[in-house]
Amino acid sequence: MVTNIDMENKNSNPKNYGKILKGLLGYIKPEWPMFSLAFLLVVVGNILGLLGPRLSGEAIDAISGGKGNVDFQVTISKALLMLGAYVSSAFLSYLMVRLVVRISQRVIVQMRQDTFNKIVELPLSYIDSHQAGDLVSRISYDLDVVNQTLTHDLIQISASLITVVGALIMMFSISVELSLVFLILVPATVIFTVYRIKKTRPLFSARSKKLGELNGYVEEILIGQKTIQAYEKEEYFSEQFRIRNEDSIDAYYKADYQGSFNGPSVTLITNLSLALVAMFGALLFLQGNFTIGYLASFILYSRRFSGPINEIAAIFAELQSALSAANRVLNLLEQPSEKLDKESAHVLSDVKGKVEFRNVSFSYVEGIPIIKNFNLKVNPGSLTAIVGPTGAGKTTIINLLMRFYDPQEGEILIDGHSSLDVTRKSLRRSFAMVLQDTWLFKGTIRDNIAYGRPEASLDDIKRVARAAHIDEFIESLPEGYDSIIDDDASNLSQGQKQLLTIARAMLLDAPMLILDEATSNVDSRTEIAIQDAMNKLIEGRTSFVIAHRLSTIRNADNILLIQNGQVEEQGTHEELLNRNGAYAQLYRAQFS
Amino acid sequence: MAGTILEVVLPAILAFIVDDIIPTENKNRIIIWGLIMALFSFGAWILNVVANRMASRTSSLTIQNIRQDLFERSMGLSARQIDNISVSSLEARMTSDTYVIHRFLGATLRMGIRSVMLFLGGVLFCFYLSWRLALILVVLVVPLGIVIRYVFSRVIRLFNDVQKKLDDMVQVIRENIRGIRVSKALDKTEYEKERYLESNKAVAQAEIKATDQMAIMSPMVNTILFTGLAAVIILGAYLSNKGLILTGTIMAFLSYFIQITNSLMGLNRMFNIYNRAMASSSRIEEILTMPKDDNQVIEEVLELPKADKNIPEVEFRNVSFSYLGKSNNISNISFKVYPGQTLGIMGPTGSGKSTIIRLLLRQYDVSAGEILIRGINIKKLKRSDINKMFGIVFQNDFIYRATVRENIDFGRNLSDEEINTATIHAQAMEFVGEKEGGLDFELSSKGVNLSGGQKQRLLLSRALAAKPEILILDDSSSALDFKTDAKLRQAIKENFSNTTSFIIAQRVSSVSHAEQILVLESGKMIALGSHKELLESCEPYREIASLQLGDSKEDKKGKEVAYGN
Repeated sequence: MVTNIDMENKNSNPKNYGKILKGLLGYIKPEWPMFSLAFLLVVVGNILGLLGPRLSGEAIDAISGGKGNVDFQVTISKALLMLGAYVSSAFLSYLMVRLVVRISQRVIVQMRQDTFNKIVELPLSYIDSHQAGDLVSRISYDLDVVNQTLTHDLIQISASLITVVGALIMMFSISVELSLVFLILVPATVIFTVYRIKKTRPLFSARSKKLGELNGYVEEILIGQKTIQAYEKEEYFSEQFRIRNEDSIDAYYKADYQGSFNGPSVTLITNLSLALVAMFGALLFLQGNFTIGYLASFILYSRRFSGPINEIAAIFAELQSALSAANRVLNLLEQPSEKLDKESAHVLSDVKGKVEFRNVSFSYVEGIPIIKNFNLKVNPGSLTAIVGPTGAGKTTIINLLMRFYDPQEGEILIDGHSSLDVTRKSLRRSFAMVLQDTWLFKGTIRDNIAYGRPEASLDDIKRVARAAHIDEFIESLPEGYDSIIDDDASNLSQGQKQLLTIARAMLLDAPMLILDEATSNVDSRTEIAIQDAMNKLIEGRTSFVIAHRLSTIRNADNILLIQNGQVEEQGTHEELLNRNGAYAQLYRAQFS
Repeated sequence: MAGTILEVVLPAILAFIVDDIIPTENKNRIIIWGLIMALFSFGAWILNVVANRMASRTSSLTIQNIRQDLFERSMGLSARQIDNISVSSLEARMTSDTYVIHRFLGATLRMGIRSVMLFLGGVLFCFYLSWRLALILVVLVVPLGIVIRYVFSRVIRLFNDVQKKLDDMVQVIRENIRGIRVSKALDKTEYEKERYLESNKAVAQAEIKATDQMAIMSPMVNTILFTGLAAVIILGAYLSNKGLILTGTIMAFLSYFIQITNSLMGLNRMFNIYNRAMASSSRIEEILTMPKDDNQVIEEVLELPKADKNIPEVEFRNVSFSYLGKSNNISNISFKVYPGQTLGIMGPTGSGKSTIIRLLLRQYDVSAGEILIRGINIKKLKRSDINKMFGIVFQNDFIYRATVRENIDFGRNLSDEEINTATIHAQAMEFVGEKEGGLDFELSSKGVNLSGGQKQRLLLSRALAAKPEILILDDSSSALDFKTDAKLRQAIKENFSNTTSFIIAQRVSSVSHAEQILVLESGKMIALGSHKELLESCEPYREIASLQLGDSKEDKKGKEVAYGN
């Protein structure tokens, strides 16, 4: 079950940036009208911003008469116009931010939802072999990083680009030669940037991956905190943590170390350009085909260059971590979901409860078979008990019955239909199931019991709670059935949790029943107390019961003793005892 | 920092070229000064790269330490504190909160300091150029301060809210991963998607609210600054008209004023991250500064004496306890267990069996009464003294992703022999031997690649490997088949005869050999005695025993007993 954790990490360094971008653009696409609007706001805002220097220049022209010759009227009107331009530009960018956050939140809600939907649709083999913490980290902050970049940075880049282009146009209108001199270093910038990106990308992937691993570890260890304290091994685990922490920080720093080149390098190139412009501008001026005023504005515009370009460079670093993060999410989204039902699959209805396993073989990990050539016929309404040493494959049979996993060979028939030919939904709904590992979610007790049948009336819920002998406890709570079960249901005992899940199964009223160590956490007295209800639950239903307490299963219609993936013995309690084989041995061991 | 200074000087050199050198018409000097500019640029480049690296090194090291401290503090939190905070919230603090701060630190050290330098440089040059015009800057400080304070006070709260909503969302994900079998079985996938959508949207709403509030900052600050700029021009015009200032100076002033504005905008962007970082850091601080819980305080340390067969190894005197401080979860529990004896604990679910163990380990402190180990109140014993005595298996205990050996060793540096012996006694050798690599078989998180019985035997190996003086088994053989369970009991009897044991079990056969069996119901003791005594005197116990161990009457009950366990 643990194998291929690394399978998908292998292709976490994809050559194809294009694929990632395509995946991401798919999410932005529906938002394009809003995006265009935001873009428009940015364009107008920036043009207004670019007008600023020009207007201030004109105001200064009006001042330049010197002592006693200042044209106040022009100066003031130009200054106010400039103020107007800047303020409206700022206001537009305010609107832009509000708009963008709405777009970006819509996009991320969609992405998070898709990721979550994928998680709940994944085949169990995937979930069983991955740490929850890793999956959580993909939704929580891989997506956060992606979203930041995708929306906010994207707009920022466009804004910067527009500023740059606008400034360029202004510069060309002032002097073509000087602009060309200024741009001489552009190809160098481009080559440099491409080189850097190539070099740093794998580092950013490694950084995301390490962080995911660290999170997985933290989650795992925190759950065991009480045990660790009891063994007084806090320091040992802190040391273990230190190694992983260091690894993750190291990966982070390595990416940062390489990324630290980018910003200053771009600044260097613009600064060098500035020096070039100063020299050539001065020389041009000396040749007489240039005025000092032109040089001044040219330099003012060229100074507008470095800011945005720096921003772009900074964003590039972000962009890289965003792409690696996106890659992790997209990888998850690409995982095949549980196989779709066959097109010809029909709804399993009116289930009688005849079940047959035909030559079923199954293994979780290739080459390590759990069940080999397994055959079993179960009559409607009968009780099948599955016993055997732990690890013999008892729970696997349940996994196959419920189609959490599909067998590699053979088939399972329900009422004569191959389980592959009916819809999963109808197949699963025909079973009620109580597992050893109880599961409750944060919500009211009522919602937890009615989980499988939300339309059930409160009376029905109370009825099953009474049958499961948990009603008294529930009513003793201040909020009764509306009491909230909190995080990890830590306010309930194991047994109480189990009784709630039994009540949940009772409410389902399904034609078939699976009890996988269903009462292992319920004490014997409570077990006796709820027997009546359990009997009613079993009666008339095809039931599969996994148990190890032989005393409780001796009345099964059919007892399967499973050992080494095979049905070793099969029959009623008496038959098996008379055979004096493995079952009889096991039974006697109970009284030793 | 030095790099930024070099950069700030660049425009000044430029101005120098334009104002002073061009009029001299000396081409060589122009080229020389141009080259000096280039030189400065390179200087700035090198210094900036170095500064960036130092910045990311510093922030990385800082985060590494914060995370380490946080982890260590988390390991030391009391059970009650963990209950209150919840594991998922603790995890979020350790992962996403530290990540937010990491990004913030990196950005501050890189851009923030740069912005501040550009700002200060700009201000300095402004004053240098014209103190009269620079006074406008001083006037602007007041409204700027007010705006920033106002926005901040509101925004921090909103970002806290975002984080809370995120916690809730993560919990839904977590629940779903854990309960995937149930939701698939009950065809609740669509419902769960809906449920997630709600929490998903709640995060987005909170995020939008916070961002909206934050966004007000930029236009307000801009308006103030550019009003200042207009004022500079107009005042400049006035001063120029009086002949108090040159046009060129106004131009230079404007250039630096723009630089100030840009650096403030840069800082503003930083504040965006700052808000998140503050919310995160207060969540981290809450954990780091959490005081020792009451049950972690040792009143006056006493030496733990050696075991004495005349003094009870463990004694409960009228112990009562309540998790929530309301109604008692257990009340008035008293018993004595002498060295080498076994106490079996039985009782319905929720009757307080595990609570007794939690109290004995001092994971929680008793509300009333006292617990004595070798005659000394456990509140006066060093924690390490207590812990060293015990070998424990909790219900559904902790297995982590590592080898079988590491899980048994549990950081205690046990010898191969000790591990092997423990594994044999715990009846785990057989299945471990079948695994690929034996003791070096890699377990996955929570031991999902083991069956329930295998997990229990692994945990038993861990507990036995310490050669404990007191062994505590909380429902830790429930998944074993009877044969293995019997073998286990035999092994413990033979090899741990001096060990005092507490065994919580559902099966009578697991405790019937105990000197004393404590029967609980709703937190109260209803009986205490040996198997034999209880069979005679305790009706509930007799019922269970007859059912489980089977007697002739049982056949009448027919199918009643014919389900799980």
